[in-house]
Amino acid sequence: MEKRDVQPGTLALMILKTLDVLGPLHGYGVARRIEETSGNRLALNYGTLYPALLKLEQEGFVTAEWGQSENNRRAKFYSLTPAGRKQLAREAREWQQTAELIAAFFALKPGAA
Amino acid sequence: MSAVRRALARLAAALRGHGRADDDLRAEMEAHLEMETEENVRRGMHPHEARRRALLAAGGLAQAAESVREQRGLPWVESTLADVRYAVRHFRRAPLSTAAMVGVLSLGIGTVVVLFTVLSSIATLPAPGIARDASLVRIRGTLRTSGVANVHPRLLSWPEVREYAGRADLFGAVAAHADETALVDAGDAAATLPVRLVYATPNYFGVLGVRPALGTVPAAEPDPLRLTAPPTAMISHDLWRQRFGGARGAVGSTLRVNGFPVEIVGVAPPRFHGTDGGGGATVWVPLAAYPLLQKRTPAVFLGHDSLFLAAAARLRPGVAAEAAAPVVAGIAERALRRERGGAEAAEAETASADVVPMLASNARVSSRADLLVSAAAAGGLALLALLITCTNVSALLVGLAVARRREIGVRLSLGAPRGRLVRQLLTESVLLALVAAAVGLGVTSAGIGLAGSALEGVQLVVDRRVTAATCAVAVATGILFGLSPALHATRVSLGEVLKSSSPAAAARSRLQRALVVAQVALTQPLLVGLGVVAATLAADAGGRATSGAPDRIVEIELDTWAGRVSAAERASRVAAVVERVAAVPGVVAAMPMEMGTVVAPLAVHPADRVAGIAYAPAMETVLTAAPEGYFDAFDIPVVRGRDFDAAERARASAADAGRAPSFDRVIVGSGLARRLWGDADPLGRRLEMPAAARSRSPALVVVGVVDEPAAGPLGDGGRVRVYVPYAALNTGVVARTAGPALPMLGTLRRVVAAEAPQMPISRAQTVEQREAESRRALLRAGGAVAGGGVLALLLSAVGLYAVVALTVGQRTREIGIRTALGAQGGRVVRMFFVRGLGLGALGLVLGLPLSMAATRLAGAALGWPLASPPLLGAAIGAVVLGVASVASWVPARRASSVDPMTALRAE
Repeated sequence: MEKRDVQPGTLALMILKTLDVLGPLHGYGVARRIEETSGNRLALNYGTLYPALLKLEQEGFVTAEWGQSENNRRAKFYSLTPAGRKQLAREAREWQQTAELIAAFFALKPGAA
Repeated sequence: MSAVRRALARLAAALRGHGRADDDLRAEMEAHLEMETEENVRRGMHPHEARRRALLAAGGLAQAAESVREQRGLPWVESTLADVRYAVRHFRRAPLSTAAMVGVLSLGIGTVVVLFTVLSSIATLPAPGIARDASLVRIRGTLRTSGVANVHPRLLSWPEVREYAGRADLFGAVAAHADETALVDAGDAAATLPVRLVYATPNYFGVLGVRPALGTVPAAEPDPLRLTAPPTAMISHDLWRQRFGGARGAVGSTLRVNGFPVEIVGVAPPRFHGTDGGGGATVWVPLAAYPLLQKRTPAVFLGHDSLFLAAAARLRPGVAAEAAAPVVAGIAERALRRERGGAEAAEAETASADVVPMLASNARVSSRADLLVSAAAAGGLALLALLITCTNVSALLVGLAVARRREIGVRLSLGAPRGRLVRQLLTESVLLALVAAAVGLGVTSAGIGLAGSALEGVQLVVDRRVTAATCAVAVATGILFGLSPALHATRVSLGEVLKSSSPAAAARSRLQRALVVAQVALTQPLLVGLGVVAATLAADAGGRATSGAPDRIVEIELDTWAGRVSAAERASRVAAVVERVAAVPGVVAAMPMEMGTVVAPLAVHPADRVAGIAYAPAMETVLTAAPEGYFDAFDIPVVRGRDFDAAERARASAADAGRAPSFDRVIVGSGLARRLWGDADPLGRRLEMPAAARSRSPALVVVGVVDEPAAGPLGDGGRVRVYVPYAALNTGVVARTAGPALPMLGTLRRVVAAEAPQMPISRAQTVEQREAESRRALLRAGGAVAGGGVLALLLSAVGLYAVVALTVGQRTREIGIRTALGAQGGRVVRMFFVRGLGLGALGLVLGLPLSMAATRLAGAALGWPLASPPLLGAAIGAVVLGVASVASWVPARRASSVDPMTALRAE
């Protein structure tokens, strides 16, 4: 199966949702989870992941903190802020609407109108 | 919101630097990598393979780090900061040329702005303490003599002011005031002081928009012409500081004005001295107090011919001064015709009035035109200064640019992108220009402060637009020329740049040489103009030397008008004062002192001329009164003929006081006698007024010749001096003392004050003190003038220095070869020196016509006789060449220190 790169603009939403579901998580965990969720159809390299995480941090949607991982390794943990939660809700709604709109267009059949 | 937060976070990161964040990121990625490796191992991979796969998935750690880095800070800002750091390092390596650049630019900006500020402030602002406001105007009385182009000022009468005030369609309010001199003391009669006394209508302060710094304005009378209560006064801020030490208790205390008690109710704001500016103690009282304090009858307020007032007014909104002027003129002409019964068709003088914006400079009708001429001349100077500054900055920068060609070539060849190089040089120029502008503004404010303290009676306001425009022009020049090496060097081929002497470089040097020549040429008119002023001032000062023993002569001048005594009383008081002073022990002689300087045009009578001597149609002649004892007191021996006799002096009896003098005898100096009559006997020869005035005054017969010390002809175009038997008006006393006069000053002061209490002493000093004072004033004025000239010269010197230094730098290899081949150091230096000097000389020659035009213009504008322009031109030429030789010699000498080995190895 061919792996795809993430579509621009969707990665932030994926990260936010992942953190929302799993709670504080390090970069590796986020990448792993996104790849798993996508059924390994997406490949996340560092050059995609870390700039996106930094951007979210700068925007105040996530915070980062050094901590201990499950197997006792020092790692940087990202967690959702209240502003991030709001942003997630907003973006999810927008995606929902966009998806419905696109679906409605594809539902059109020739000569039906 | 989040965008703002993000920008702030990036800015913070940029400022913080990337060091720690980079470490953090590396650790984070390493952890990521290891977790992935462990996972892979758990899945059963060999550790090596696990690590390899993890690295593969990561996709280039360095690129990832770089893209995070780009997200984190502000790359554009950061590279600019790096450019700035590089620029600062570069400037530190070349402190001299950097300082020269900053100096030239900032001094240029400073000079231009200060010159412009002073001029525009004088020409366009009201007196200090009054805010600029288009609706605030003066109503000025004018007087035109038929057949003469000049318009003279006149004062207004009260009925006239009332008529103007009646035009409610034009004026919101019309305030009248009479400015007089009065004697004021605060209870202590010994400390009497002449002040300016302004009698003002109650609305005066409102119209001018002046609010007292302390207390209130003088109480308004219900009828502006009738006093119902004792008058009250507002005093000027400086009087308050001087007399009351700035104490609040001054309000409520009593002043005696011309002998009448007046209660102080307020203190004026600092620097406010009425509508005409100028400094000095000032007291404001109600106009209604005029008859009382001036000892006049209330009739002064009646009649159109009782002219003693000036008027300030507020125009109604929407009314322009130009629109109000003809109406006011009509009222004035009608009123004055009515007054004269309409029968004066052939009247020689036409009275009228006009309306002008309230400025400090236009209190009198005629003064404005002269002011505009000098303003235009000085405005020209300011422009010239700006031009020179820009020329100089460009010359310096072009020089620096050529010097950096090699550096730029090397950086290009190392692969620096051209855009990046241009940006680097742009950063440098902008930085330099901004620093220079900042220093320039500092220079400006210092200059304004200096000008402000020198011009006490002038309100100075810096015009922001002009300042901004000047800075912009100077900064733009700096940037433009700073950029030129970048644009140029990045265009030429690498090989050519590295080969050090290309045709393009030659063209550039030619351009720079042309700029320097232009600059020397442009500097000169400035120098000549300033030199003319300085020389004229110096000549003027030379004429003031009066005596060989300045420390033994005391001059005490009285304010004979302050006490409003009659002319006869004044004359007898002065005579009494002279008598009393003469009787003081230690005083050898005392004589009356005449008021001011009397000048008349005189020519030698045609019948008394001597063949072979050229005679001017008229000589500006100072008529110095020589009362009895004068020549002895000043150690001036009579060498031929005689002193005036008592009969000749007696014509100045009390009966004659105040009337025009009508003497017919003069004594001349030996220098003048020789000039007018050579070796022939001057006694009995006559001087006379030129034809036009001859009928009215008799010829003056020479009765004696004195040997004067310094006084005499005051230079070629200057005045000459003759002595006459008595003065038209005496307003003081001159005393010759046996010993040094300074310790006796106090005693003499007391004697004079006791003898003439109505006439306060306005000046009491030894001749030595007065001369020192005028020398100081002269030095101040001359210093400012010389400063401007030196500044201009300095600027050209910097330009010349830059050119020669550049040539030396460019031809280092050539010098090395020449020296290696046996050329003497001196020869090499001479080669560059002569070239630099040649540029200076070329500039001098090209600037000559400009200088002559400037000299003529300065002479015409100032109305001063010019002391020998050719001599002055020669002097200036010598100075310019001298400076040019130093400016070329210093860098030229460096050529001889070029070590051939180093020079050749540099390739």
